[in-house]
Amino acid sequence: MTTTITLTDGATEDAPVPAEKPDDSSPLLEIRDLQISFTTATGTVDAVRGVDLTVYPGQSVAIVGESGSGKSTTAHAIIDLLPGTGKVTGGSISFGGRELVGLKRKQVEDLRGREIGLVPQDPMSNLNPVWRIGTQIDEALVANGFQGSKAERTARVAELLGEAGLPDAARRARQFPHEFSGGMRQRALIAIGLASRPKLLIADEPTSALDVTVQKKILDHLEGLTAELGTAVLFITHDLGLAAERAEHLVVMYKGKVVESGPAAQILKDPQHEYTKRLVASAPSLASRRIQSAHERGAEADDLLAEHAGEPEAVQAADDVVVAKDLTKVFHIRGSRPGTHTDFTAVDSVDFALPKGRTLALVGESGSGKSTAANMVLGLLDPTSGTVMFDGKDVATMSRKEQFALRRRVQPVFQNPYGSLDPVFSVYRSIEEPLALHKVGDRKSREARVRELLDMVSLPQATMRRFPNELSGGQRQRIAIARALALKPEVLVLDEAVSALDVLVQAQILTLLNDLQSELGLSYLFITHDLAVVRQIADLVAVMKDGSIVEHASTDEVFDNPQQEYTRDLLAAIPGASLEIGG
Amino acid sequence: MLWYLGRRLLQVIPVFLGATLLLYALVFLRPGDPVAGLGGERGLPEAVQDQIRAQFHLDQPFIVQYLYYLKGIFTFDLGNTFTGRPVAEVVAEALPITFQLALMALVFESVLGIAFGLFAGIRKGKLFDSTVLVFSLLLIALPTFVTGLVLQIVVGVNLDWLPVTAGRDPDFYSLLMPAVVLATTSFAQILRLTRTSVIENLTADFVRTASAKGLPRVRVVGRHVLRNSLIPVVTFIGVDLGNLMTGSIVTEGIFNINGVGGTLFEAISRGESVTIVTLSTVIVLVYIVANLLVDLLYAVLDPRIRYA
Repeated sequence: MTTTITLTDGATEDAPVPAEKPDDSSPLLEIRDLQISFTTATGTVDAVRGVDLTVYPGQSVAIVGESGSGKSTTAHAIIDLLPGTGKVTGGSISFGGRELVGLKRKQVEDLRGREIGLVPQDPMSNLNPVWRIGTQIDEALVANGFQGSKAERTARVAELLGEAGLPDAARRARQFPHEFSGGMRQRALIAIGLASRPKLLIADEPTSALDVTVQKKILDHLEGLTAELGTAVLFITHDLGLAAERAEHLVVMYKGKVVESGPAAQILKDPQHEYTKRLVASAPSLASRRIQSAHERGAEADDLLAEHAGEPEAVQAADDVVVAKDLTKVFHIRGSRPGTHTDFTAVDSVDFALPKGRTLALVGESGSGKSTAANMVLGLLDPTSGTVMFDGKDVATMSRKEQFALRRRVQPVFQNPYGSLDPVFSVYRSIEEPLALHKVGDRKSREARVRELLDMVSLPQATMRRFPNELSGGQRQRIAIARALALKPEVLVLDEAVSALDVLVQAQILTLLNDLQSELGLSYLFITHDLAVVRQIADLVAVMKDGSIVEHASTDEVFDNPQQEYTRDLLAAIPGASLEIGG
Repeated sequence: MLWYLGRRLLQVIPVFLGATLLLYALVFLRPGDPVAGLGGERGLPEAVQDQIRAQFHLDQPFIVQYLYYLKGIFTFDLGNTFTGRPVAEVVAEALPITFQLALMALVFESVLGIAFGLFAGIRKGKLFDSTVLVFSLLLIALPTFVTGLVLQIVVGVNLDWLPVTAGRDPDFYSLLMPAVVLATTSFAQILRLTRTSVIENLTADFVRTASAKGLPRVRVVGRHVLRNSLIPVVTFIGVDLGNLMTGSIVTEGIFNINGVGGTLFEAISRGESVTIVTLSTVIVLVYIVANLLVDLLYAVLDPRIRYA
């Protein structure tokens, strides 16, 4: 990782922009002026407009860009797996001197797997749920001409899985995908991708669906493996930090065009193109401080923060809008026989306090219990024991009416902006619904409020007549925020609210959240797995692991002086954490 | 697995009791006195009517009649029809014919529906797909008696390929046309369901990954698209087995088959509560067993489903 960057570093200073040659060999993959368009009902959309790209044998190249930039489309065009109506309309893709555009289906099938492997993006959806893992690797061997008996193939499958870093591979090969965790599935997919020893491996966001620590392990492993086998790697990623850490050469794509390409270190230090500059500036993994607007508040607030930072739990209840004490949630899981069950403690006597007008981040990997804790704060789950105090009142002892009133004061924003808006509701109806439900104002005043809310989240008022499917992910998340703000709540529970967004959009939403916080005095309970985002938005951090809080302190303290081994691991796993960034 | 089976079979008991009680109540609430209509124009003498009423417990309150009926079931005595034939015998005669008919229809609709649906799905938007779509819509829209009569005239009378009606003790040959008629609507539905499911699975990530491995197209479709696409189709087929048993009333009428449908129709028009309830309960039980089979078949198709 860092070593690869220092290796190329010397050679790159004077290298011209297109590509640096690691040695005198001819390029393995050469894409020239590639054009790809999709046919839609309203005409053709040019997704890729003149992309040039070169990969030498054994080299690692990363294509960086946000969703819709054409990076995945470019990669899939190489092995003729463009989705839907996608078509290469111009340019050339040459692989080992052979032109790939216009090959017959049979010829492409011979190429796939054998010459060019693919490690796809989402480990959850890329393995067929109805076949055993081993079978799915085995068929790749058979299809690519592996000579050997059934027993030899079984042995080879176990060998490949073991090589991809899966312990107890022979037994694992007989299991089904649903018996694997995300990380294990991704290892199985790596085994499939490398099964027939391709010369080039396309890794399409191979770890973006995984926890950071798992991501680091898998990428380290993949890097070692491809180096050993001499496989060239074409990385596709939206994460600039990750790309810089894992690839020698970067290609930055924006709206279907390559806007900049060059050695990784050079691009990070001295980005030339406007877009790359913005990308470098807003890459969360590289950002190092809290977004400004929150700090513009008076000294009084800063004093408060200092007080909290020292002993977060010892502050008077009056200052804390939400206090969780000894919060525990146990789920009963039905056993295989009637009457038997096992207890699973998702949240284990957790204490935290959210001061008024501040942001507390609950950080942890998947399964750490952070979302369960958030759902208890929202009153969507009843705690098994312990209390959630809201403004000094125990939520559990409230009457139904009081709880209904409480809903107005605590509002959620969820992770997936595609799933959290009802597709058949117009934007207006989505935002107006909570107002109507709580019988706030008449039709007219509600409409005025919706307009005001759209202003607040910087969307044009005309948006209210549109439907979610007409909007981008960032716009939808703004609407989800507007809906949450409709009832003028005091607390927002943001459950991975920016995780599904591209970096630039993510930065915009974080800025928006910050502005709203200082404007409206909101308190945020920010649930995230991404420590880099925490740094930008949170005042206080509680790190969760296996249902417990292992570290609870101010953001600066956690980042500058982590007390726990686990926190240090998390920090080290942020992609690009070890890189020095200029510009 | 055994626990699961046991639990599912235990569920049959309340369903059975509930279904029979409900059916009995519905039949009981029917207006008109079945005994009064027995003697034709002149009617039976009062004394004979009373005797028949007493014999069939028709003079007792509803719940008592129901309990008599239950007692009969558990002592394997389903009672007699008004004409004196044992109900068990009537059911035993009707059931195998209908079952054979339903099974034949099931094979037709599944095999052809899945094959056509798969092919249409793969060639989405092409000529074959569009033709099949329009044609299947037509089949869904046409009532059974129209397709039945048209086939009778064309295949049975004009071309003289198959017997026009089945009649008593029908053989495989004479049931062919009724089975096809019975299957048409479901065939069209299975076709459409398979097509949609195939189209959806063709764009699934794991199918793309299978292609990326270098698998030939035939294997990608056969191993990765078809098996996953069958999961929703199997649900439909299970429910449809029940529909075929009852849906055969019209078809059996057209082709003059003495199956469950025909017998049930006669019993309803005569107000023979015992026969109605027994046949309806048999149909309910067929539904339950078919659904259990579907659920077990699920686990075969989809390893994520494990019954415990």
